[in-house]
Amino acid sequence: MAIPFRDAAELERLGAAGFLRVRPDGVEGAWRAALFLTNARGEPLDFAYNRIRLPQRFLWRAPDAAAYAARRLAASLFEVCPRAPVLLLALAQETAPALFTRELDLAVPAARLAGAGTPPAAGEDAEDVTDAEEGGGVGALRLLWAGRAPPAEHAARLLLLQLSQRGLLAEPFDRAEAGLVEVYGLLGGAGEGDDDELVAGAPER
Amino acid sequence: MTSWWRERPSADGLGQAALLPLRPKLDAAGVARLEGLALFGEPWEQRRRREPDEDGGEFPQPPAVSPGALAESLARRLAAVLQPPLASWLASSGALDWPHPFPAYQRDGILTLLAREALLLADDMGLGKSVQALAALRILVHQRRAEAALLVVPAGLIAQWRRMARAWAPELRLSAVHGAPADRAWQWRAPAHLYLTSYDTLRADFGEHPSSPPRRRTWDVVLLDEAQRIKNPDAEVSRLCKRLPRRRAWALTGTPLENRLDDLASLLEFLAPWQEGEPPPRPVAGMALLARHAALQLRRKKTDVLPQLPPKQVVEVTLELGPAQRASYERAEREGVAWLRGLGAAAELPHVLELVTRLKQICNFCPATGESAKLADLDDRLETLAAEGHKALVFSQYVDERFGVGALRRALARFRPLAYTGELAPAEREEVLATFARHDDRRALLLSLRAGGHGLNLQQASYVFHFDRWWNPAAERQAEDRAHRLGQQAPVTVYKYLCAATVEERIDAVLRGKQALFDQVVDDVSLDLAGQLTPADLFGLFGLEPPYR
Repeated sequence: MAIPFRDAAELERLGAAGFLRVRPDGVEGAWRAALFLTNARGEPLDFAYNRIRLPQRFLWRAPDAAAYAARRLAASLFEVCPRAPVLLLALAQETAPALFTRELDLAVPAARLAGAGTPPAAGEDAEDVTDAEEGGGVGALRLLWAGRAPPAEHAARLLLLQLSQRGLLAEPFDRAEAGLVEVYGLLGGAGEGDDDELVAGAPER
Repeated sequence: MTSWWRERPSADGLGQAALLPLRPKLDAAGVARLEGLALFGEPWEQRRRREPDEDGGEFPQPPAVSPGALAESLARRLAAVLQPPLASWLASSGALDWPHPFPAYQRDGILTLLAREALLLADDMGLGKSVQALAALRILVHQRRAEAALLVVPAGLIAQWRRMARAWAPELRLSAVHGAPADRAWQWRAPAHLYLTSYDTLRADFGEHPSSPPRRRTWDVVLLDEAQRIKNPDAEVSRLCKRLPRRRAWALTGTPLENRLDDLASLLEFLAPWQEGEPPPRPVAGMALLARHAALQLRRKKTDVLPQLPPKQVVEVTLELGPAQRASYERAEREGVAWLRGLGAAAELPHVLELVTRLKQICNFCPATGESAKLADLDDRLETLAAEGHKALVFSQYVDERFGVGALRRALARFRPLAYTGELAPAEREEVLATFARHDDRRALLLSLRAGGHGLNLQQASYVFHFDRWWNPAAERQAEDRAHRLGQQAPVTVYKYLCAATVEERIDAVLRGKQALFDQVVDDVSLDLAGQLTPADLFGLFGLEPPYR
């Protein structure tokens, strides 16, 4: 039986925030990614991870390769993740705007997190936000929403408010990185598989 | 699960078709479920079923090389790595909610407890050693660095620790191990994060067989409160505490031990991790003892952290009655309720108040044996305060030799307390006050509420004890203000005693529900429960209905 948290119902109601990281894997043409889900207090809920390697890297244009890798990895992570986030965040320095605005059709608000003053790309809606420093946050940031920013009454807003007040907008990305290191090691490189086929993500519990 | 996302066709048309022949290699995605306090990836129900049986034995370990075990190992590591950072745990608006923000010295204490395998936390009384320990335990559990901790405390403080755990670590499951042996058997086995027991119970339940409850697991933390209890190395409880298998050893004491090397040596033997089968900790002596003590102790004095302390802090101490006192209390309550019932329609508020007064007196001292849970706690605290060089005021609404100031004076004789009551002539009162002010060796002043509750300047004292409550906020403030007033150099710590499972606790609960009454300013210092509780409240204290006229 679960040991109850205080305000468990409130936490449950706010839902989960998803932090998506897509990182080079240390080998050219290889990437690793994680989808890290936390509750409003930053406590870990789920951690999905995967990696991809693109052979004949020289045949790809760099932006195309990165965009393709991000798309395939994100799709594989969303496929295996057991719960839907209420809010999806990625780092602007890692993911191109097109991932959320063109490549994927998302039913939840999604935004790229960027430094203050970062101009939005086409199809993005910019919103300034503060990551509270008392809880370890980094201060002024900017959210680049895919499409329109969610309205005030949207569930994602409440969740976003909790995260920002606790300084948990940027910090979970660091933990996601630490999780990837735990799974794959430090820039360990994509593994060699026997199977050349494109493998759909299989849940591993 | 695809209801919330889908991939769109590639915009340029060239992308997907062109890329497929290049055969990107996508691994099988993995996912680790981490939520809740299903510690180390295993729900409580499963762990409970794996508890060793009466014949003993280790907790069964998962097989070493199965794929499931590898996944479990990864999930464990991820559960630890993916926890929020430490700053977030301690922040007032961080990952956890706390009743109050931590002053800097308490944050330092918590961080030190988290960083060390062994620590002697020896802060001055009133600086929140228990709070720091509970906060550190809470964070350890959330970080997946601890599963189960054993807290060994004086028997009279079990209720107090339970109350504090509810306030400071509400989501941690606590099993209080005390009472009859049959009850204790399942209390030891109940799934919990914190196991709270007394030194006496530990001594009773610590068997020679390794499967005896306190020994059959390696505790992630063993915490000893009032750790000077194990200062005698030859005492059984001292030897047993040192044989508790543990990964971390924390000891709390307010008693300065710098000048008591023999006491220190025994305590330092406990302050180290230890496992069954390892050689017993070696006694440390001489300069090595002092060096080890310095390395293991964290001690802050009130004067060290003055700027961080509120001018006055109030601590409610909930105590369990001892056996004889409990028996007297319950007999008196039973007989009193029967008497009230017998009065029927003739029962009036003064009758109820008479019973309340009688029971409050028993909560002070057992009429048959003189046993007193409050006195035992007060005695301990006065010993600590005296050693720290502080002075204390002790207020009671009673002056007599059985339940009030007279009884306290006799029972606390070793502290040579002074007494200030209305029975003293004016000149005698002045002499008492002058002696308390001038003589450093006179550490305690016992006062009746009526005589000493207002008008006196007693800033020499920085600790105030309300031995019994009269639930009159203004009267209590007036008494506290004898110490907490202009000219006071130190923060004042106020202790208010409450006996668990008694009319004292019930009155306190009713009044808390009537929060507005706490804010009223009442001029009269007399016990005025009738003015604060309705007839229904008062009769309801004993499960009775007020008679209607």
